[in-house]
Amino acid sequence: MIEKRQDSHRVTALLREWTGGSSAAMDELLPYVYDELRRRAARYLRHERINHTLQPTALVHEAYLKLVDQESVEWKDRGHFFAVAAQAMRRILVDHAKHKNRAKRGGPEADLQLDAEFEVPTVENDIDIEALDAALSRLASFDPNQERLVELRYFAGLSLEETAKAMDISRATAAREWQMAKAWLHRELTR
Amino acid sequence: MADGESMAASRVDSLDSELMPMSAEVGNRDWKKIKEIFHEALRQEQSNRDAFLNESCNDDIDLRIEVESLLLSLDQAKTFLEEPAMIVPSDEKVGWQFRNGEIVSHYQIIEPIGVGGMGQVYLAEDKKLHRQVALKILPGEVLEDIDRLRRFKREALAVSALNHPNILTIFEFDDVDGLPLLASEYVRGSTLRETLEKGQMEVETATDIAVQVASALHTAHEAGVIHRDIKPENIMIRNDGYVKVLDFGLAKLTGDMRSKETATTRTQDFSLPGLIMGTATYMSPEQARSKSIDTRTDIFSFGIVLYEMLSGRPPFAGETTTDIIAEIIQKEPDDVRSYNSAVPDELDRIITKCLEKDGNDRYQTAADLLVDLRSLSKPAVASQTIPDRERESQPERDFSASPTETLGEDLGPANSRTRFRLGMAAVGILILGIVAAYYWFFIR
Repeated sequence: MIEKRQDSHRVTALLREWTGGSSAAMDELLPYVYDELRRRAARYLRHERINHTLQPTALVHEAYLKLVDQESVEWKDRGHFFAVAAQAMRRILVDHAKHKNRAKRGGPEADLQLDAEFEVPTVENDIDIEALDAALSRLASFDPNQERLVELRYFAGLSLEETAKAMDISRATAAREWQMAKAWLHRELTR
Repeated sequence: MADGESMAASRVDSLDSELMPMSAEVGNRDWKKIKEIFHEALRQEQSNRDAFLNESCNDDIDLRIEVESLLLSLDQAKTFLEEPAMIVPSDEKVGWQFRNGEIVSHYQIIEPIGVGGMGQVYLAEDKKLHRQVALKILPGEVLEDIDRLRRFKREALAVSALNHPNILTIFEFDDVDGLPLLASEYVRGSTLRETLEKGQMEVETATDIAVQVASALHTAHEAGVIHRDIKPENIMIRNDGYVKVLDFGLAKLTGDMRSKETATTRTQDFSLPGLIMGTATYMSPEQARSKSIDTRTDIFSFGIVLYEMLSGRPPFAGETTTDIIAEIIQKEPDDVRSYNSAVPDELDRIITKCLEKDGNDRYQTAADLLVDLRSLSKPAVASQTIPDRERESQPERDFSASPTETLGEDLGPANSRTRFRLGMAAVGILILGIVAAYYWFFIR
């Protein structure tokens, strides 16, 4: 309990520093969020049997509630939190996809040795996460905002409205940019 | 962690910059230009697109090819990326589901009747006792945490055994090959959620339901059991008007099943995303903040349900869970009478007292709440007899000790009791009147 409160103070303070212009705060923030999401995903997967899938958006919102002191954050801090959480989710899913693909190449026995702490989820849809990740990084080289948008929408599972709020842009702008990012990424992945 | 972290870190600090491309050399020479034409082309009618592209790309063939291939790709993309990334457990045990007619233990499945945050629910027939039951399938892990399971059996089965008419009767908790089943009374009717979809309710109907729910809470709290998840989905209204409160003690069982320490302290942990996502609207401030909770958490959630019955909307709402939580913690609810002018003052006062952010300012027991609600559904004689001032001047009882421990005492403070008696006296006089009238008309 005490540990939780300290985390939440620290994360809340970091968010405020970041909004105040400190980019070092961001560096310190990501590990907190990453660890929290990873732990939650693993714990959830150990316990879940009935509702097959785990939605990243649920994890992200929970991590937010746990890590951020609700009473003393502002809108902008929240947007920052979601941006970091979306990146962390992307990292978690991509890492997992890598492990999994490596295991496949290594045959069935390698599968057993997979990351014991993080209990081997499967990302479900037909999208090649590793390829998407690489394409997204290429997109970032000339349009980092579209990259962020895709992270929030796809990896963190936020709605268009939430994404627009988190990025501090209008819904219309978010919708337009989303279409273009989709078109570009789809083309990259079907080349 | 390692490599991904530093990569990510370098990007995020541009978050607040304008939505403009950072650099324009790619394989995409002029991203900004491409973007403008792409967006504009989408705004054009399909039939105008060619002409538009001719004009806006001039003779720049590469530019035109680039935009056209993106437009084509968007057409093909359809659902691409529209579903967020999903994680599924690799475990093969996933997806327990029964077919109609299937036999499970001594139950025959008739049909599925719902899926809650806790698991699937079926209508089934108990082949031994030849009666219909609601059969709830719980997550397998509930069997692993022995302490918690024991506590659940003690709580839920104990509450059920009290035979309170407003508490759903649990028949049996069974474990069939590692699959925990909860068989309970099957209620023909609809959930309060379904009823609420038709909009706000009459004051009398809402009060009637509220009295029954409060009565269930009172009995459970007296037995030392907190519901923890009072919401319209957990309140059934039988076709004959009886209200049944479902799932006492279940929220705790299916909550965080791993950490042993939370089983012994009274904290609520939200390890199952479905749980928190579904129920944020009815959370108390102390639940929302993961503080320790006691029976007064149920009173807050009850207040939300009562408010929603009368106004047709929950008092704390928002687009996302975090918005809702923020409202629960910070916002004073709108006056319920601004949505329903028929709500009497006294009922409004009851709601306000249930929805106090600080548990110490709320009704301290469901018994007190019940007394106030009951005095309301009787003719106003009782509450008029005792002036407000006198009621307020009653000293508050000291609840710094655990409220659950005080539950065993008699019904609330003396004033409530007096009012209750006065109410009963009024009812008595009324009955006498009716008997007299009956005698006058029919016997004479």
